[in-house]
Amino acid sequence: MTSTQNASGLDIGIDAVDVRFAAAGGPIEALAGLGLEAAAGSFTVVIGPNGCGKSTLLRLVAGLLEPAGGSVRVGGSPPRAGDGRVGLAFQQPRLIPWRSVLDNVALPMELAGVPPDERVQRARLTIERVGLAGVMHLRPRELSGGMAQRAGLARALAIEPPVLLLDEPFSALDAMTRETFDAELQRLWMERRRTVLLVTHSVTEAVVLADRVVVMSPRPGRVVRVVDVDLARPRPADLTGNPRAAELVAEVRDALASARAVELRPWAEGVA
Amino acid sequence: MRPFRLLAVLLMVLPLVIACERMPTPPELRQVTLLLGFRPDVQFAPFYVAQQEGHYAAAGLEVVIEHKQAPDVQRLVADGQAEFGVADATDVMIARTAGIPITYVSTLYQAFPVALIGPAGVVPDDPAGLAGMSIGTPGRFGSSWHALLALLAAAGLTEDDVTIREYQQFNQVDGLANGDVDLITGFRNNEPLRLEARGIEVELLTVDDIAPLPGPGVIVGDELLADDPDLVRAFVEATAAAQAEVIADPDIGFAAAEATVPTISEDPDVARAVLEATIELWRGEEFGSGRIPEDLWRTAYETMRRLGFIDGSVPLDEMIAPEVSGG
Amino acid sequence: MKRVGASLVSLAVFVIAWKLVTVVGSMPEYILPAPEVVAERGVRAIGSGVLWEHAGVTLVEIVLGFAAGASLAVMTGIALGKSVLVERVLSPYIVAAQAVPILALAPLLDIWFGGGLLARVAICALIVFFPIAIATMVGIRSADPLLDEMLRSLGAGPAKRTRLLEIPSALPVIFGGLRVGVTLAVIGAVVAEWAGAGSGLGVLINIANQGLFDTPLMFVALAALAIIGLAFHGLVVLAERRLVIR
Repeated sequence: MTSTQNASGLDIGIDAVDVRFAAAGGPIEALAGLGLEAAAGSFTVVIGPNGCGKSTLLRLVAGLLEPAGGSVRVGGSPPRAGDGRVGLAFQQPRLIPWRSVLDNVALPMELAGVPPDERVQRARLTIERVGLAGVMHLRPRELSGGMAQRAGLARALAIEPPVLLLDEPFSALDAMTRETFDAELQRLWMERRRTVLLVTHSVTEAVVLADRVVVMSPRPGRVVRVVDVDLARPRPADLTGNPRAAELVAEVRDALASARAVELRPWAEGVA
Repeated sequence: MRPFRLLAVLLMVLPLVIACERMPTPPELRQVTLLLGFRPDVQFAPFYVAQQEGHYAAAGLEVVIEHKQAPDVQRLVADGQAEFGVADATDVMIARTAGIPITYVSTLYQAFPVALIGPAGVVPDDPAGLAGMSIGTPGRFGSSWHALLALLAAAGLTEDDVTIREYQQFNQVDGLANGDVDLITGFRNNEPLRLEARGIEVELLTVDDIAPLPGPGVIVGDELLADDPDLVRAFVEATAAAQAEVIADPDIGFAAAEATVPTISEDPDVARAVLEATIELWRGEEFGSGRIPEDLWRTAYETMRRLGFIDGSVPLDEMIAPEVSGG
Repeated sequence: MKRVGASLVSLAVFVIAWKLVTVVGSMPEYILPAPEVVAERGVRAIGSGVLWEHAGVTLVEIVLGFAAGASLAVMTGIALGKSVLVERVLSPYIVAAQAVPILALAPLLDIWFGGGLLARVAICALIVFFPIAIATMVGIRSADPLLDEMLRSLGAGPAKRTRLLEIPSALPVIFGGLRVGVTLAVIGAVVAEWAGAGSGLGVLINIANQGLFDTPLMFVALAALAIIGLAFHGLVVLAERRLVIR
């Protein structure tokens, strides 16, 4: 069961949202009537096939998109990009190449008008928490992939947001680094229980990290199943040998497969 | 495919046709190049007449005319890339002193063509009256500039005593018409006609009685003059003969010019007036067609030296060859 | 040091080649003077003050013309880069102005701007404008859209994104345009002088050529222009090294 000790997050409420994009051949429905709740301080992982709208979902919660229908709420009110409630980390580090790691991590505070001394100090603290103290004055191109990804994460954490959104943050890394990072992420989250919404492709990663795994359908995206993960924390990144974990992994896989079956059936029947 | 074949045949035949047009002259005629100023003009009538009426042919010459701007005429003639050119006398003095090996061999304009031009009543009778006036001129070079400074110096003045306004597009006429300047330098056979066409009555202040300068004439390279003086003499005499014909009967000159100068047909009356005014500048009883007046040149040489345009390092007798058209 | 050595060697090769051309082609001094003749004439021109008198005028025109043209071009380029509508509206006129030969326009501009230093600065600025504006526009558009989204997620508005992302992204390309522009400024100043100026290196070329028949002096003026162009280009490269973080 999730612990509410040290909970410093906001809850997320998504209610029957529709999101549409204009495209050359006509409008694309990315999300259709999707609903999702995440309690304050909980760790929710969203998983689903390619193109199901997971990234769109995150951008909705980040305040970068507005739904055509339904509502999104973070801590009771609609999200607004840059108001400090939400920290967002991407699949690519997205660091500004001509700024040092320190200046990159301090960027959100710079935009919020935090004075230089304070923001440097707070950025330093976060950089130390993710273990990048030795490279904080280097430029992004001097970092390894893993270091750059950590720097992007530090940037999202530096403003101490109550909600953290992560879009496949470790999928570009090799398996060993990924496991290490998953463990570190869990540690950071357990120190300060903010609300986390993480998108991934990896079923094992989902089971390691999540309180609840939300499985999405192919486009237009909806929630098809929610799997509660009742494993005790802290969990090791390598769950082989844990029978309950194996059951949960199988359950999530099954949910994904049937979601995909929905996608595959029209092919077999010759429907475009 | 047929149209393409025809096109291919035409493309092969075309160069041959062009080559035929450029066939070398019959062996009796020697081809020479004459460099004239900026573009074809009715003022070059003597050359057109000499070409078309056979004066050059009778002298054994086929003359090809090309148009170049001033410093290139001197340079190309000096380097032997053209045999003959037309140049201002004062420019010849400067060029020769600067080391360009050309010689002035025949006078075309017995009167110096440049004058100070202004509205009637504004032009002073005496160069002393120029002090404090504003004067439009193409630039600080050329016979117009030399004449202006010579006039000022005659009254003990320099360019600091007047206001100079440069018209690099040779449109100083517009400046005078707009009232931007009091006076302009110009050619007696050109600007006054244009101003009168705009209804402005003009007066002239000329160098003739104040600081006499020689007019434009024919130049050749020193090398050609030394190697083939007969050729030079033949060209000069043929040209002088043609010029005499035009002076006697302007219609001949006008007809020859019309055949060569495309712009005449746009405004034949103006061209005719220019030709007649030009003839007045060619004509002179003092020293006869083509001849070089050595006294005038000596005076002018001293004037140019005093003005600082030449330093006297090259003597006058290396600049002119009076013997070519003398006699 | 290696760089300086290489430049000196190439300069020596150039001078020797020049000398060879005059010797092998038997070029008379009034058509192509030999390097030592030009050098000697240059020393005399510097000593008599003639060269500095004209070079100073042209330097002022170049500096002011480049400054005016470049600032206007960068601002226009940012507008063009950020808005497709602005580009569609403005670019026909900009391209047309570039296509008309400035040598033909210059006398008209000289009259419109009153014929003094302002006219020459305006002509110079016009010549400098196009490559810098286009470079700026391309540079602004080259900003990484992923970084743009990242900034938007942090609540940065269009002005902040221009300042923090688009302009720094554009700097390498803008400096490319500035390098081209600064050498064009030298040409621009000369063209402007030919449209009606009393002094300047362009005027000196005319005086030497048509007034004095002094070809070595004309080459001295040309060499002075080349040196000025090289110097300004070098300054831009230096500024680029300071300002563009790679």
